[in-house]
Amino acid sequence: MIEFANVSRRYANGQFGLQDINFRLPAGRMAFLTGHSGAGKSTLLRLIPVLDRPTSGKVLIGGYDLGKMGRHQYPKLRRQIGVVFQDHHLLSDRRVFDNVALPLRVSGYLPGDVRRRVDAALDKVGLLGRQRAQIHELSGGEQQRVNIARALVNRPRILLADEPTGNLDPELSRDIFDRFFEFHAVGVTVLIASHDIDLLKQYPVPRIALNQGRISGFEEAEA
Amino acid sequence: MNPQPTLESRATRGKSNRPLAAWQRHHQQCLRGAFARLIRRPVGAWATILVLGVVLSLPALVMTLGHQVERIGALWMADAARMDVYLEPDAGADERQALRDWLDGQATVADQKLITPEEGMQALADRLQIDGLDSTDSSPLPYVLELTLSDVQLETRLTLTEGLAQKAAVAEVSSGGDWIERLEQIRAFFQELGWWLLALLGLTVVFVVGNTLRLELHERRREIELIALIGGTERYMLRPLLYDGTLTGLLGGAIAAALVSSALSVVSGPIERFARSYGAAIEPQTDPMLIVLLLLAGGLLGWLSAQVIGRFYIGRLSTP
Repeated sequence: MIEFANVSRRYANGQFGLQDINFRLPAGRMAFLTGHSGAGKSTLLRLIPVLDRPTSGKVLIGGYDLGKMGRHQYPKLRRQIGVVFQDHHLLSDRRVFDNVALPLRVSGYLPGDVRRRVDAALDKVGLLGRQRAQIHELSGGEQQRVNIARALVNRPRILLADEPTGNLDPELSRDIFDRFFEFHAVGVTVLIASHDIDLLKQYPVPRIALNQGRISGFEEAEA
Repeated sequence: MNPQPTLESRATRGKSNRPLAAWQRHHQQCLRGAFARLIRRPVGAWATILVLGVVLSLPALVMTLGHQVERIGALWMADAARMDVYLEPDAGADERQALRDWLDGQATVADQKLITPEEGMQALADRLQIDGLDSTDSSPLPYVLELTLSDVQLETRLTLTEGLAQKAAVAEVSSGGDWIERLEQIRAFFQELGWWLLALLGLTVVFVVGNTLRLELHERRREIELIALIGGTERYMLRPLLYDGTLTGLLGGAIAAALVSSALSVVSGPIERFARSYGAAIEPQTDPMLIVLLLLAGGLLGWLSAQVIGRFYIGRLSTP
């Protein structure tokens, strides 16, 4: 479960990135974060894997207060969270296989296990057979699918995605969202930030709307 | 019911069942990576290594020179152990005997020999090769006591000299070892200077290696941020840097050892000739221990740089 309790994030210049955020996303559920650019979606997502800290309030994962966590505990938390970025964050000097294998190697998996899991993850995103391709040889959509495979290869409990379809055409965007749905179906908690309301409306998923760092509304899933 | 579940219990999902093997494997990868980076960026990497070599060689050279001074000083130790006591011309046989008895009681005097004026004149004639010098009626030379000391330290000689100066029968004391002591002080100066240089230039090594690693970190900034995001520990991120720093330091130490050996081979000719003039054989050689020390110092300083710079930057990149 992801829980935000009275969370605010104020920057050094005095401006609020987030203000008094309260919501609870039960384990295994899926939700969309919506809002215009600068609404605070990325700021909110960054608080979950402790890439940033709130200036007040509490962020809890599975009941565990992240504010009480020491820095030596961050890796343990982050290995349970898969993150998909808009700009891919792929290592351009590595092959597809090495990019997807990175979380497993960091976690100390042995080569045989790495190979098996990477193949399985690439198979799920439809890229089996492209293991040896260089990143720059892939299209934008393929790169995003590598990004998703990397986020999921470690079998995380939580999947966060920040504008995962920002640069993709509608058809590819739907394909990417379909894959998120598949992972949600097997019990992964999924929180996706996107400003593409038309795309989000196609999915029966509750939406948390952000506006200028505040929650401006909740919309339950449409049937 | 467990109201506050721990992260540890959930973290086991992402762990290898053979952590030691994975750890060993990462070390091997880091070592291979360190060599690969040397090959991939030969100019930048070897420029740093050469600078390290020169920097490390300076204190080593000073210490080596100090060691050579010490060896040369050892050649004159025999002289330092000798002391000549010139007696007053009017000192009688009783006074001479009393002085000899007093010297027999001194622990620092290993042996003594009385040279009569005639024997002194004979020795002078032999040395100057002048016939008839020893046939003069009376020798103008005084009685001399040749002492052999058991301890050549300056303090011992000074104590004995002061004791002798208080004896009425003694005219003058000649000790050839004063400047041996000065030589010893020069050697000690070189030694101390070497340690100071090592400390000062060691700090320079830390900065030079640290700056190279900082640039390396800057280039790999994106990768480090990513590894932090997917759960890499600081140790995991630091490990490649430790290998880079240690390897750079070790190679710098090897270059320093080569430079010291080369410098020593240049000065070995004059030192050998100098030693030969004293009937001794000194063959200046690079001390194997010095090579080991240079390698150790280089490796250690490289590792230290990586620790300091790596922890600082990785900490900043991976934590909010």
